[in-house]
This record gives sequence, C-alpha cells and structure tokens, in this order.
Amino acid sequence: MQYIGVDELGNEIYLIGTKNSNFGSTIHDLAELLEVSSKYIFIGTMPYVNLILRIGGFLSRGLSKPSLGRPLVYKGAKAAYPGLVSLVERTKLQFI
Amino acid sequence: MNYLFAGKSGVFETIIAALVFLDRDKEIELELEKTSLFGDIEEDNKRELIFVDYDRQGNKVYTLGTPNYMLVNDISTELCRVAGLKHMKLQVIEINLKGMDITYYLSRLGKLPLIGSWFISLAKIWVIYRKDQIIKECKKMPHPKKRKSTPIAAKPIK
Repeated sequence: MQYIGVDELGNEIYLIGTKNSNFGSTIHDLAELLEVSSKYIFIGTMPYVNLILRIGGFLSRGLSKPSLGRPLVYKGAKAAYPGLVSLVERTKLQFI
Repeated sequence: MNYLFAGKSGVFETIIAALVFLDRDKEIELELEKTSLFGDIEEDNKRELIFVDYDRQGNKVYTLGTPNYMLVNDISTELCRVAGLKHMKLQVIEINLKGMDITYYLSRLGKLPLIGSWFISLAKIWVIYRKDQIIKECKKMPHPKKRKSTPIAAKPIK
C-alpha cells in the first residue's frame, strides 16, 4: 500500500494496486477477517479505467514499452480525471 | 488465528488443501461429496472468502480463488501494518500445484451458457483424478501453524 497523503480531516489516504478489477470484495472480506474493516474505506477506481488507459498500461508495463505506453496513459488519465474527481466528491459526501 | 487457502480457484484444489489441513483427507471423495462447495463456481466467482469449517482449536478455515492469489498475503500484511496491528489474525497459505492452471481454465469455461456445466464436471473429474497427488503435495507443504509470517510490502513504501 502506498501512502499518498492526508485529507482535510486528517484521514490518511493510501492506494493499492491489485492487477485485477474483481478484487474489491476480496479486500473487504480480508479486512473484516483481520478485524480492521472499521479503519478503512475502500474505494474502487476500476470503473474509471478506460480503454486508452488499459492499452497504455499494457504497452508500458506488459510489453515494457513505456515510450509508447506513457503518452496513452497520459491521455487516458486526462479523460478519466473528471470521473475520478466526481468519485472523490461523492465519497466525501457519503462518508465524511 | 484463522487460515486462508488461496489459489487460482477457490473451490477445487484449495478445498482439498483445506480438508487436508482439517485432517479430513482419509476419504477425500466422500468429504468432497459432503461439501457443497466443491466445484461451486458461482461461489468462486464472487471472489469472496469461502468458509470451509472450523479446525479442532475453533479457528476458521477459508479458501479463496483469485488469479492474483500471490498478492493476498501481501495485502493482508499491509492492511494490518497500516492499521497498526502487531499480530496478524490470519495465516494465508498459497496453493500452487501442478495442473491447477488446467482446472482454472476449465472452471472459466464453466461460465459458458448451456455447455458450461460439462466443463465444471470435467474440472471436478480432473481434480479427483489427481487427488492423491494433490493430497501428497499439500502434506509436503510446511504446516501453516509452524510457518513464520514475513511482513513484506506489496510495493516499496516511499
């Protein structure tokens, strides 16, 4: 888990990559079994990963061609940005 | 301490591994018949922890099927570390046996409409055919209770 920073209320923000879009319920179950679920709010970002991001990621990481993949990742991330912003806003409204 | 047997599929070889751990491997075919979980790909596809049974000490034994099962231990360790827990209440045992990929692909084909159930039956037959080898391999693995957990971060922490 990579530490990203602290939000305005002092909650720590981490990110975790799992290579698999279907890992959400697994992580949730693991946290419950470890009795730490009350300390976490898991937010899945996979619905915002578009095709350009996927192709860029595959070229960059899968085929080890970052010179080809990175510009695509950049474009894909730009396209996904508004959706991710609204996800953060909705999350804050829901949990904070 | 709870135990989690993680593999590519959570309802085939991992179930046998859990039964071996529970000392219920003497009549494995009968045990597999008894448990409704064996070959239940709907349960597997939920990607949730599958409860098998309690061991003699009352610890819970689970299985989990996910293509990235090697990450499960790292994720559990990280969840504990960030939450500030010193001791992890879960022991993850990765199950990686010969022939598991074939079972996995057969179980994926089990999602197909109409002919899917045929592939599931084939996957069950494939696992039962290898049951002795699976049991032998599972018994060779270090006992989870004697394992040392290694707190390794999934990625380097900056």
